[in-house]
Amino acid sequence: MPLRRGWVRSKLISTISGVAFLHTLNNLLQVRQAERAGSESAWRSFLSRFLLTVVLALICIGSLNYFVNPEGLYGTHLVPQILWGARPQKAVMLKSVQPPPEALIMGSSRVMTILPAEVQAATGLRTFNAGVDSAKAEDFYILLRYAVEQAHLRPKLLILGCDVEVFHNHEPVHYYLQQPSLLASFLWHSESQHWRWQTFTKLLSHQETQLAVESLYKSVRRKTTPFSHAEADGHVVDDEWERERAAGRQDLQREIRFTIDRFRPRYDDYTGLSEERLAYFDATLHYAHDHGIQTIVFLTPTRPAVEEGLRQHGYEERKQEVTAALQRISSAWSARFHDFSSAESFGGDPSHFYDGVHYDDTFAPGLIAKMFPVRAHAIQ
Amino acid sequence: MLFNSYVFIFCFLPAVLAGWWVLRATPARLTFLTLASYFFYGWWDWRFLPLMIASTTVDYIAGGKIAASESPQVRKRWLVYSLSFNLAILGFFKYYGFFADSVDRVAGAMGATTLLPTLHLILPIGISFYTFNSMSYTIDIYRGLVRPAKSALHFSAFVALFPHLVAGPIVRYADIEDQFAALKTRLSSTQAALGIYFFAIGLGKKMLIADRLARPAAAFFDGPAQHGLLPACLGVLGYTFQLYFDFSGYSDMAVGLAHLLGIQFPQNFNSPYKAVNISDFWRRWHMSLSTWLRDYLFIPLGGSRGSLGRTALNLGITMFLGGLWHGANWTFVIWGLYHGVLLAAYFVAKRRGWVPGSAVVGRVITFVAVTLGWVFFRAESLGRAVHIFGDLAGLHGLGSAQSFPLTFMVSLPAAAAIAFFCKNTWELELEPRPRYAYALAVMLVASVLLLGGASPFLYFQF
Repeated sequence: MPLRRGWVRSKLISTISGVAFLHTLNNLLQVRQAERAGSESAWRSFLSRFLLTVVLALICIGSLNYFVNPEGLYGTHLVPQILWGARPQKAVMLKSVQPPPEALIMGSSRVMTILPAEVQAATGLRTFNAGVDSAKAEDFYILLRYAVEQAHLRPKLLILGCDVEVFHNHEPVHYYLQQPSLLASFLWHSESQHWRWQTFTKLLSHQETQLAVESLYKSVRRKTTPFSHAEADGHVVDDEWERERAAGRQDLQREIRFTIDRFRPRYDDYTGLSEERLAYFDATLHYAHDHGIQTIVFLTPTRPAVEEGLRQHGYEERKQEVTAALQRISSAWSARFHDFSSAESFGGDPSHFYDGVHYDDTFAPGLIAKMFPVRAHAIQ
Repeated sequence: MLFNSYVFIFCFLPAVLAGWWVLRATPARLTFLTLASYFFYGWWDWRFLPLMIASTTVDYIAGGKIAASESPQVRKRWLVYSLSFNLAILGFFKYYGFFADSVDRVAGAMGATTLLPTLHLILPIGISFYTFNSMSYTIDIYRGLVRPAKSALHFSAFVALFPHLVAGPIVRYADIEDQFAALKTRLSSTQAALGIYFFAIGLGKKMLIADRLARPAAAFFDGPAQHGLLPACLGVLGYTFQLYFDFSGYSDMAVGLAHLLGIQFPQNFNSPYKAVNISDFWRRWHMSLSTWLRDYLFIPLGGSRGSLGRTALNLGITMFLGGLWHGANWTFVIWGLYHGVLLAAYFVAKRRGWVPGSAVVGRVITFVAVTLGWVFFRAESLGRAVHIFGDLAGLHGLGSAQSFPLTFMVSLPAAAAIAFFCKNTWELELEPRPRYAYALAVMLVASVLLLGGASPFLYFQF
């Protein structure tokens, strides 16, 4: 730990020294420039000042993003990571979890709150929640193959929670899958050649900078308390939200508006179902079928206000297409399909959404009861 | 490759500028620039490079033959070869699908089977621009306005020159000829500053304004029908300003890049939304295309020298073809004809003294007319355009602006204020003051941070 602090201190000192040096140089240029306005040398000073400012600003922004590292991309950890890297962490957990799980829950952050214990109570199978953020169809395929071929698990049951965006035709493969890794090795088309370049460009992106600033801000307020954590069975606890709820600071309407604003651009780009993602989904169910894994597919719930807010952005059309595709592919591989897109469909209480699309763990019993009407040892 | 991409700004551009200014001999520099431009073009799809090289070769040979011959028949024959070749590739790649579809629809309506096969051709990016660049070369040699290129290398570099290759401005060889004849070997600080100024402003226009308006405008035009008056006004206005800031931003960047190579490009936009009449609008909007159409189409058709009716017809034909140049779709045909009618109406009104004397009234009428025209330009189909006009007429109720995010609601009035009241990039006088340097640097850095979510330029599709 002292070694780590020393390293951070030395990096900070070198950054501050660099800034001071460039500031002095800039002052010198300013004096010279004032004397020579209008001449070629004045333009040279103008250019120097411009280039210096650009370079300095880009170095500062790049350094901020590198050291704060809000997405955990660079190996540096000045403050706690704001975005939890679910894929690598769940991959590690799948390999080490004991005793080995017999049932896997997969899906996006929307399934992360499903308690594996609830599934175990209903099925008698030890369950692991392998949900990862923003899961798309390729995530199911990769995680399933990884679980079977790398983690050497022999699951009997696979529960796939699909969002309407699961077959998005313009969202790229998740960043973590573009890195050379065991997970990425299951992708049909390797994206790793772009990884280094994208790592560099992310340093200079608005999104990364915004996350870095947010991360710093939250760290200053909360010191080193984690924003979320995964328990041994993969169930994710959103610590930040729990703290906000305990303090009575939850503003659901604001969260819903935020969700709609965040999802609008996604739906503007979501102009049809991706053929490749449909093929990944088909391959997942095919693989499960060949390995004797019973599969249950369900469409995750969304708050009606969000559906309404996205209606003009093609939400309804995509939902219908996705529902039809999930039904068709599930039926082709003898998998069961449940449309749980509305909370009412499984007896859930809509007030238990904590934003537009995420719900707390009180939803899980209803979902599971609908999936397994005959409880205990339903799947053996 | 896009100007608004990390790879262009951090890799391609520094490498090309370094190579261009390090090399001294003209042939080496032009070879380098041509190859770099081919690389720039091939980054998108290298399979279409031979097409551009073929167009370049045909026009270079034709230009040489026209200049070398005294015989009017020979000169005309080579001009026809050149024009036929360019129009053939443009027609095949850009218009075949539209033509075949239209013929088959008519045939289908008459009960006949499909007459022409559908080929699903990919439109080579920038084909409309580089064919017009090359055609102007042979036409100008035929008219005796320019000398033939000094070498194939000079001509190849002119056609392929990456700053104007894919979306203009449409540069004529006469604009470049003297600059290529005496290439600068040292970039002055003044010209470098101008280059940076145009590039940074152009990138800012694209990233900070046009792209903020892009998604909601696209969602309005491409989303489900039945919107209402309010969203229609916002959607159409959003596209109106998006298109201006997108395309004029690209043109500014092209001018800036040319400056960084020591070359000057003509102005392409001159605050078009400040135009006081429709004729004035076309003198300010996409000026390189307007002047091209004027010099190579409108004037040869007879221009405004004939009767009122003949002039109106010439305007109609010119604008119809101008509309078709933009894209193979009936929406563009109608947009072109709409502008042809507006220009003809203005011409008649001017002759009869019906034009309003107030510049403000003229501006408002012109802006509204142009904005309504963009509905045809942007809509996917005529049916969709008609529906939007219904929205604008209030036939589908007032609607709600709820689906337009805050960034859009802030960017739209800002864009309007800049377009209506501020000086444009060419009118602003850059001075070597520190605050200008800092302002440009901040604009460039802010734009760079947004590159990750950048969208292609709207005029790439043409």
